Amino acid sequence: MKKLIAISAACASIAAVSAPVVSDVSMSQAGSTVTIGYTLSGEPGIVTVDIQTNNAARGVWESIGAERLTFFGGDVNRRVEPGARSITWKPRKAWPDNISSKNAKAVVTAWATNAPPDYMVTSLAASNTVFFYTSAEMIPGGVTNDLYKTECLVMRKCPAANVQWRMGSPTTEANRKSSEAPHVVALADDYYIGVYPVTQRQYEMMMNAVGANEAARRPSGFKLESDYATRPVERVSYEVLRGSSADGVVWPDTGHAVKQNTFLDSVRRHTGLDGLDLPTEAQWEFACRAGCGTAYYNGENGSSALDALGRYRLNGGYADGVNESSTVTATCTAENGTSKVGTYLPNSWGIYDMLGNVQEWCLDWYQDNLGGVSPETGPDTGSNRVYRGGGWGWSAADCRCASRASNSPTTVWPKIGFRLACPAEIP
Amino acid sequence: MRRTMIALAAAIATGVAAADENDWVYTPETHATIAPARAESATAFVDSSFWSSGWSVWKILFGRGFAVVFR
Repeated sequence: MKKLIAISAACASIAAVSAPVVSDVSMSQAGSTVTIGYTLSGEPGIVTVDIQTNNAARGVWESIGAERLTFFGGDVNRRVEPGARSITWKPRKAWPDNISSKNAKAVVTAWATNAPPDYMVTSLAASNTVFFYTSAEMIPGGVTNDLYKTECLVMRKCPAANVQWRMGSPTTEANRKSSEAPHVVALADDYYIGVYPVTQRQYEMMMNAVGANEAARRPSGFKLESDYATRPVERVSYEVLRGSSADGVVWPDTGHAVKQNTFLDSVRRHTGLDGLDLPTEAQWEFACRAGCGTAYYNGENGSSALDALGRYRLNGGYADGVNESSTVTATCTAENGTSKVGTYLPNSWGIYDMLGNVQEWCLDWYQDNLGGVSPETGPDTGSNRVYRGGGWGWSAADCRCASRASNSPTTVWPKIGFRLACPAEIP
Repeated sequence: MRRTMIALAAAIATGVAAADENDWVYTPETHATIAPARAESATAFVDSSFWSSGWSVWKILFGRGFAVVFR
C-alpha cells in the first residue's frame, strides 16, 4: 500500500513538473491592434485565450463569446515553447459590435501537450501548421466551412481515457447481428478523430505531394468536377492507405508503421503529426456513439432516424439510376451515391457522417466475437479488415452505431472510404 | 488472494450484466482530465471603433506635419 502511495506521489510530482504555467499576462491597445503579453514557464504548452468584458447589466465578467474570439495572431492556438510571448488581436474585425469602448481583460490558458483542447486543425496546404481551439465556434470561419473539408483537416478530441463504456448492441436492438455482442470496454487514452471522412480533395492534395499519378490521386467513383472536392474519397483499399504485409506493414504486429508514399505516410510528413492513422474499431465506435447507447447516435432506435443523420440507400444513395449493379462513375449525379461531407446532422460531439455516406476502414482485423480481445489493438490475426458505419448503398438496418462489416484489405469499392485518428498527445 | 479473485469476478460479472441490461455506463462529465493553467491580465480599455485605427493614421499625418513645420 505504501509503495502504491509512493508511486502515486511520484506520478503527481511528474505531472506537476510537466504542466505548463502561465503568468504576467498584460493587455494593451495601440491603434487597431491589441497586444496580449504573457510568460509561459515549465513545459511547452498549447495556449488559448479568452477575452472577457464587464457586463454592467449583470455585474459580472464574462467572455465576449466564442464566435468573436477570432483574428488572433502570434503565440496562440498553437504549441508554444516557454518564454516571454505575445498575441495580437484585431478587435475591429473580431468584435465589431463593441461600438462603445469597453473594459476588458485577457485570460490566457496553457494546456498540457498531453491534455490538449477539443479541436485540432492542420493545414494540408502549408507544412507543419497545427492549430488548436476550445470549441467549434472558435474555429475561423466555422467548422462547417469548406476549408476544413478541402485544404485543412479538422479533428475532434474524444475523451476516452479510462472511461468504461459498452461496445456492441443491446440484445433488444432491432436488426442487430450476433457479431455485435455487447462487452464493456475502456480505452487507455484520449484521441482525436476526423470531424469528417477524408474528402477527395484532401486525398488528392496528399497524394499529389508524393507525386502520384492521376488515377492514384483521384480514385473515387463519385467524382463530378462540380462537387468532388467535398465528397468523401472512396475506392481506396486498406493496403493502398497503409501498405501490406509484403511491405512489412501489418497492424497490430508492426504497430503504426506505414509504407512510404502512401496517403498516411504523406499526411504524417506534411503535418508533422506522426500518430495519424486509421482509428481502431473501438475508437471508431466510441467516437460514433459520443456517449449514446441507442442504435443511432441521436438517441433513437427507429430506422427512420437515419434520414437526418447520413446518406443511405433510401435518402439519395440509390437515386437517379444508381443501384447494386450499376457502374457508379457512369450514373453519378450531384444527388446520388455519396453526399458532400457534413450534409447531415452530427453527433453530440460534433462529428459528421459517422453513419451512412461511406463505410470507413478501421485498423483492426475482423473477428466475429470481440469478447476477450484487446480494444487497443483488435484481434492479433485475421484475413479481413473491419469497416464501420454503413454507407450510401446500404439499408438503415446496416447503418447503426454497432453495425460491423469486413472485407479483404485489398478491396477497392466505391462504398468504402475512411477517416483519420490521432493520439491526443502533441509532439 | 482468493477473496480478491472473487471480488474481481463479481465486478466483471456486474459489468457484463450492466451491458446486457442496456445500462449505459459511459459518463463523459466525470471524465478526469488535466486541468489547464490560467492567468488573466489587468483590466484594459478595448476600442473596436473606426477611430481606433483611424487615430493611428492621424497620428502619423500630424507627426509628419509637425516634423515638416519644425524642421
